[in-house]
Amino acid sequence: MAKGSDHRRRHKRGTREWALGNFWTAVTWVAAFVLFFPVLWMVLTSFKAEKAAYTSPPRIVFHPTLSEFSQVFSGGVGPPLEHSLFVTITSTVVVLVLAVPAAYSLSIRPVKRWSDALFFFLSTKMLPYVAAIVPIYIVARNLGLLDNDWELVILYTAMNLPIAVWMIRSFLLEVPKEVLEAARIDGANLWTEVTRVIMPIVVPGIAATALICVIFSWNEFFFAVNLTATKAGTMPVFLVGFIQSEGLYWARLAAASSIASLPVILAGWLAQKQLVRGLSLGALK
Amino acid sequence: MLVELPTVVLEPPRVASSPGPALRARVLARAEPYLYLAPALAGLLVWVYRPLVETFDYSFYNWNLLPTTPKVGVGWHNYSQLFHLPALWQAVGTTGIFMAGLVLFGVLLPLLIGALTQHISPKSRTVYRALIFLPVLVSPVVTATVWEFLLAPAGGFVDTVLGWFGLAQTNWLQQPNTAKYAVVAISGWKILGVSVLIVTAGLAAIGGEYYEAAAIDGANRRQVFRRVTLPLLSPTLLFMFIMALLLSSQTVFPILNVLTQGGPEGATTDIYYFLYQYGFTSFNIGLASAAAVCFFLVFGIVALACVRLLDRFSFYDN
Repeated sequence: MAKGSDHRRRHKRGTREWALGNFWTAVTWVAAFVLFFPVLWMVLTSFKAEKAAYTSPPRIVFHPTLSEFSQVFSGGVGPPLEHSLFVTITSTVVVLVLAVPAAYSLSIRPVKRWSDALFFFLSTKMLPYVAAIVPIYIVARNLGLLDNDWELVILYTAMNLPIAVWMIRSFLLEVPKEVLEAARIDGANLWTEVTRVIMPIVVPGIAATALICVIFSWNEFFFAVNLTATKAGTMPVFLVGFIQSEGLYWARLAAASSIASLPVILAGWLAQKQLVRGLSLGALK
Repeated sequence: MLVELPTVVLEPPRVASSPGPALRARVLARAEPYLYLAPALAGLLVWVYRPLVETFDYSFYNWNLLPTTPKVGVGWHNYSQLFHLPALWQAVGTTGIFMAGLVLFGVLLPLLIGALTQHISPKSRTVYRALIFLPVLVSPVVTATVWEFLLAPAGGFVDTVLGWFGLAQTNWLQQPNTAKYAVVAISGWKILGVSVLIVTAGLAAIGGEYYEAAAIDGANRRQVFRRVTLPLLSPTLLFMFIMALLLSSQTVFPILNVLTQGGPEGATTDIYYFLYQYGFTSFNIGLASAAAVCFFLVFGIVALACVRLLDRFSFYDN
């Protein structure tokens, strides 16, 4: 009898835990959907006709149309897209060119006091940009770089360099010491060592780093809005202007936002796992 | 983290110490890594640290940013003027609210979500992560845009949903009180995903042997969480806390710039936006620079203290 009740109690507790587990799982899925919903709503709205976007209450079922996308494309989204592409790609290439050698000299052939150097890199990520914006503006003006793509290339390079150095360094540390030593003994020079031994191991990591730089540069707003206008305005700057001029056209705004988001969403999903490493500034591996 | 030892250390090849070309080769070999490092360091010195020094310099002048107007030296006047501005102290308070809000969204909620999703299947976890990661990926300006029409007073989605439950509808961004919390919620929505991912990575990094040991000792779920998970996760949590504090103003800025412009009645102006407005709207460069210097100093001290703390904590697991 005692045995039976014990058994029943255990069974009861199992059911309760099972129900509780399911309850929390449901809660987390609802939470995920709530988080995801605004982006979904933006994409849905972008396929609505302007009239359908405005109804109260909002409509979930509607007749999809591409008309607002074509409105955005004829409304001058071309140049900002080009500026964003140019600035993003160029700064990412420059970041990699600077970061790979720097990371090499902080990992495989470390300089003395490499940890101080690393701290210096990371420290620049913790500084408030706003404290430096006036001098940066003045320097840009003196150099004739206001409203110029190259100013953003320079600043985005400086902005992404610390993360890139940190990430690439952590990938370089994963290159097995024995392999490097074997290459040295075989008389490999630096070039062979880098191209034949190191690169094949770290290329996936470098690709992820590049994607992260792409996301940050593409989305950057503070420097762009202060240093560019009509001649070099990137997508975020264009969007802000769009809100001011056509903010009442929700579907069109949603279409422009969707266009601005597509590249980073693709890049983000490609690099999701490594993104954590970059975004956490290497606090974790 | 910062003091972790490199796993690969290769000495430059030893060369016989005879003078002439051999010596030069040795010096070159020594200098080589420094040469690789130099361009990156120089770039950051010129484009990050030099402007900060110049900001310090500008804070002692009265100037309106026009090249044709001369700068007038005013000593510490900008600083004393700054501290007597009521708007500054309002902005300090708002900054505090934003920071507290982002700690909630950047540390506490992610910890909760991370702990709850720890046991869901790997397949659904992938989907789950992809869903909550979207807000992190979209541009902050897009974030502001999306929420602008979600929060719109008539026909906006939020008000419609509140209407279903018979709740009062509000013009969220036009009232000082609600605007503040709307800004916090929107920025929180933006950073939640990445914080959850960081917590998840931190949880995954905790070795199974700790849990096994706890299970052998007969610990229940809550005990395991409090006595095993939380302590081992503390470096991660501390890091997220630091980032939430230091990056809060930067995260909030695009939302303010697009949605509220610091209003209504200055209710959403934090220090970052405050000094931005003095610099780029009123063109009071001296005052803006003085504010920037104070902001930078306070942040610098906080950041340094946090990094020290983090360094001490990161050896917890060893």
